Amino acid sequence: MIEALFGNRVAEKCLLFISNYGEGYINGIARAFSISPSQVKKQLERLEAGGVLVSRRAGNVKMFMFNPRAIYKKELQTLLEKVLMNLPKRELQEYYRKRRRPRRTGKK
Amino acid sequence: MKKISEKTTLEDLIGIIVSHLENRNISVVLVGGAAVSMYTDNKYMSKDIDFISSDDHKKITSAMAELGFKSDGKDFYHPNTSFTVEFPSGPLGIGDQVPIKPEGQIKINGTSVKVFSPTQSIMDRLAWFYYSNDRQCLDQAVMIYLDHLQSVDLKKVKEWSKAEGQVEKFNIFMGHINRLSASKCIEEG
Repeated sequence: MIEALFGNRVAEKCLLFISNYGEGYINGIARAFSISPSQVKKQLERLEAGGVLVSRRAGNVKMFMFNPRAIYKKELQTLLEKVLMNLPKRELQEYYRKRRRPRRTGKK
Repeated sequence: MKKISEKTTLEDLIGIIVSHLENRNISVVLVGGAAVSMYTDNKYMSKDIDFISSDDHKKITSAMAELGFKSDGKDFYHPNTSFTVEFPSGPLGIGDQVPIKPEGQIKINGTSVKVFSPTQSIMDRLAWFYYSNDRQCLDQAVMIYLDHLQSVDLKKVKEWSKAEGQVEKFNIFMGHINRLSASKCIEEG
């Protein structure tokens, strides 16, 4: 929908994923959309270098999120939220509605 | 008492359990996804039934066994149904509001079931969206709102969201309900 704005399809997906779930890591995003981790890594690092995203270490993974200091953070998130809200229902359910609330260990 | 079979609906199963526990002087509050199912006429279908109870777990296990449930920790399974029942630890709370008194009640086959009100249920679902970025719960909060337009106190939800420091995410919730309310108006002409 807005890949032209962000340069390419992978960057768009990375940003939508992070906007939707609050954060994301290379393999998680790659798995979610069935794209190669190297493509995701390239885009996340490009967005980080440009100041759109920041990252922190969480165990063995590098977790990416929006840069709280980016002056356009709020507007960017509003834009992405609007895109998410207008995605086809099937796409929304497939990629952006994974359970994030905890599930007790051992629960079947 | 109705027998539990594979045809027993979620609603009937809740009624059977609550009625039986009441007969054993065990008080419970229905929470979580099953409460959402009740408020949305199963538009959201939960597979789990969660109850909060301040009663002793051994007493609960014994009463549930009388209905044919086997326990596995805090979960209960019945051979005739795929619904699972859980008694998570209390107290009942929504975000920073702990403890909280449930303000809702639903009737199932003559049995009164204590539950969060639609307003409280929306806050309960939004808490997962606010703190775990769970968009399934955002959708559930929107569904409850659209099915209970008249009774939901949006001002209360907004004040609570503000107190939780989640105004931005509350605005996302509002964006969803405004958009869906508008499309509902167009559909209804």
